[in-house]
Amino acid sequence: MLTRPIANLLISCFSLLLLASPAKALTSGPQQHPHIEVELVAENQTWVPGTTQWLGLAMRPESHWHTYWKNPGDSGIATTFDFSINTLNGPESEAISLPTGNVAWPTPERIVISDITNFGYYHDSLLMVPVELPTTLNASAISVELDASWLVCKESCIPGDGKFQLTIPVANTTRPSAFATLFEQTRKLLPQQAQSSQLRFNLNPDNNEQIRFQYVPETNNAMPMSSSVDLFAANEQLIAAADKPQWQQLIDVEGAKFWQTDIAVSDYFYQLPQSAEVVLAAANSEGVIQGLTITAKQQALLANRSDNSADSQQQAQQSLVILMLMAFVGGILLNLMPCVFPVLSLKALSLVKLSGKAASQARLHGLLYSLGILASLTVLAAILTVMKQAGAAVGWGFQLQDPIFLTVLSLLMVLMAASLLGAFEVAGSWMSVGSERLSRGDRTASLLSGCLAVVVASPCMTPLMAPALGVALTLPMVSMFIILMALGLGLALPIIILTLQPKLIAKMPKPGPWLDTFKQALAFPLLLTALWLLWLLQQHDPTWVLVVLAILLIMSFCWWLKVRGYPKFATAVIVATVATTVALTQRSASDDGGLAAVAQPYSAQLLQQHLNQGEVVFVNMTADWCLTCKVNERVTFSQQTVAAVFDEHSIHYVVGDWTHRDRAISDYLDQFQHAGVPLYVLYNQRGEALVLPQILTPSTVVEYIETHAINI
Amino acid sequence: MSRLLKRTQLLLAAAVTCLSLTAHAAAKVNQAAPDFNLTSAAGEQVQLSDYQGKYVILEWTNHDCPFVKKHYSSDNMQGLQKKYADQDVVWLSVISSAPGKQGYVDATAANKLTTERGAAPAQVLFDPDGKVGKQYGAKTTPHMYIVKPDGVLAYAGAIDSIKSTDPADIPAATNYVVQAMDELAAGKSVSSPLTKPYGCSVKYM
Repeated sequence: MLTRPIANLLISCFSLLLLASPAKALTSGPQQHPHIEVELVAENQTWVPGTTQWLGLAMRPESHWHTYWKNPGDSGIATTFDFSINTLNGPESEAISLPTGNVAWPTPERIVISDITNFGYYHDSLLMVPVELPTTLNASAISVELDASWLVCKESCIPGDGKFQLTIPVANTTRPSAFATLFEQTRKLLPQQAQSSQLRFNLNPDNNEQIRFQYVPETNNAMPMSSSVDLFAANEQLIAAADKPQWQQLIDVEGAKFWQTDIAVSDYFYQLPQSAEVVLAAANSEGVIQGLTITAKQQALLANRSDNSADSQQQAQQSLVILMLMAFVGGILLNLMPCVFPVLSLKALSLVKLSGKAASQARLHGLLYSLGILASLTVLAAILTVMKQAGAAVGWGFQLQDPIFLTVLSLLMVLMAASLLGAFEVAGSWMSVGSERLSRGDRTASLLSGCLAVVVASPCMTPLMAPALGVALTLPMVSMFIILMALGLGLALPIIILTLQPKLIAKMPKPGPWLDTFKQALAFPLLLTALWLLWLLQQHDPTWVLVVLAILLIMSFCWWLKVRGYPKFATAVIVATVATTVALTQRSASDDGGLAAVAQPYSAQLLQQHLNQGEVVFVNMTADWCLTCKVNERVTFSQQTVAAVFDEHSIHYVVGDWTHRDRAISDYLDQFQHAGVPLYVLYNQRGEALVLPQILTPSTVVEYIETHAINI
Repeated sequence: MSRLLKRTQLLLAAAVTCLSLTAHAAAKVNQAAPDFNLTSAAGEQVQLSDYQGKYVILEWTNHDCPFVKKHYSSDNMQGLQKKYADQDVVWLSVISSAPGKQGYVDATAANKLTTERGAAPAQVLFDPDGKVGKQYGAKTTPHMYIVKPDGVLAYAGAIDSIKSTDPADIPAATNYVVQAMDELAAGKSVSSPLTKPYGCSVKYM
């Protein structure tokens, strides 16, 4: 029974013995230094004359510690290498020394700690160095000695250095070492050499505190280009480390596309170099960072075609034409609304009858009717303009960047879609009156009937009109007017055609269930629009999307209550929701009375500064979405009594806002093994930290301060 | 929308420019070096403009910083101080460490350090509130500045080209202060007037 495992064991022991002696030669052995383990390794355990061999310095910092790229960024120092590589066992006179090639630096990461940006490696890295072995090499082995020095940092930095030694036998065949896979994996992290991509740079002509980079990617570019592709310059004195590129795709005068970004110059920038080594980096679809090394050339910048204002005007005009066409088609579609369509032919017929046999009279009435529509839409445009200006005056922005506008608009879209689907009707009672009026064809005022057409049919047209009006609101006044006119013309078109060609009336399709199907189908483009608006909204601030969804939930709940016959409950829910919202907003307005006024935003440096000076610090790690945090802030930190105690004992109130997953704060939370907020930490004069409970009252806070920080 | 985005970008760019302007309002190479008035370890009030007509070398220092130690344990810094003292150049060592921070010393301790290390600055100056350090944009210790006899800043930056704490690197490094002083003496313009300094961060308050 035991034979097989024992045999296996014997085999493994035997192979271990076989490997033992060469394995010793391919690593210096890991060295433990403060906060980092460092080891010199070789890819192959035997080296062959006439080949390129790779050595590597494996750097394994502790979690949250990092080492640096060749340009370390705002602070820090790149790891340095001093190799001495000599042949062994050859005749004494022939011992030769071999030079190493350049260090192959893996694509760096951007490491931001408070206001300092560094480039380096948060994780284990292997810094590879090539050695060319001449074909004439006459030696039994090669001795590698390395003096390496590095800086390993978290918030503070520890310089380190070490001496490493390897002896590698020379042989006729190359044998990979146990580290060969590590070298292979590291090669994937190295930035690739750009083939035909071009990167040029020069001072930004509009701002000589910026360097403008222009990039023309090669056609089969392995690295996907996007606005957020990062850029690292090897030269420390070129660009500011903290300034991340924001690429824009532009078109040059010959119609070729290129990417452009402006980056602030470094504090130590003095003059433009002729060329600069740059690494572009982006995550690929699997989330792996891919880099591209490219030598950027100082060259005259490409002219951007759309810099030409005539062109951009033309573009604006083109988009206006498209919007106009859409509004026109939308206007025609309005005629197919169930409240308009059935009376359309009647209206046209009445106009024709009214004018007797004189076709010109009919045409005149048709024209007047259309003018009526346009006139009422002009009034609407005026109302919208006034609304827009009044709104702007009280700080409402009718723009697609404004979260409130986006919220209202997306809610409106969903409501209108629900209406189209038949959930409810907008002012249904008006509609029948409107239809009657419309069909009667008032003798005295065809013009007025046009106005009426808009006014009385508007309740049923609202679902479709709403998006058009929403879009119109975002536009300048003239464009808004033009678009509403296009909509009016579309609305009037069938009547104009029918009065011109009365024979067509007979050929009009009969109203029927298809009208409702059509109406309901229109709900889906509206829902699509709502989706688009929500997408815009979540780019702005994801919490707003939640607000929209919450409102929709409450509204549908109330609607359901009402439909099921509990309208009083529905009213109660609405009142309760409004009251809670008002109460919450008012409370937060009264926050200013408490500690909020003296809060200092958290940074590791600030905290260290206070602690170094032996001062008492209260750290409050919070986030907007953290309910407990908000409750504590309202109940405890906004109290005058608490603020008075802080003031009396000059306690620093340091607040970290984790709403947007700030790395510095995450690191701080890690120190206390806290996965999230709230976290309250009180430091006394000796710098001793005490973690407070997550739910606080004014008296507990005062008690903790007295026992931990004052009476000691 | 794109126009709005553009506008926002312009605003941002303007804001960034303002920020960098405030950051640059400090000392700039080839412009007048800001004047200052500091108390020295000898108890004197020292003003930069007192030395008009002479070259002035400013050395930001912190005796506990490993990068400063590199240049003092090797006698590199003292050697430079003596070399330029002989050429009638005024060498001012400035300490911007705040009280309680690394490198902060009182006059007695500062004088003791000077004697012990055999240093030869014309004056050791105290800048405990960091005002002058920030005015010059001093980021590290050491951080070196050369002011020409006409009061114009001729050099700001690192002491030399090899960023390390290892004194063995000094002989192989290009000393930017020496290079600039040699070029100035030869009537040439300074080839590297602005370099990125290396060392410990200045321990401002």
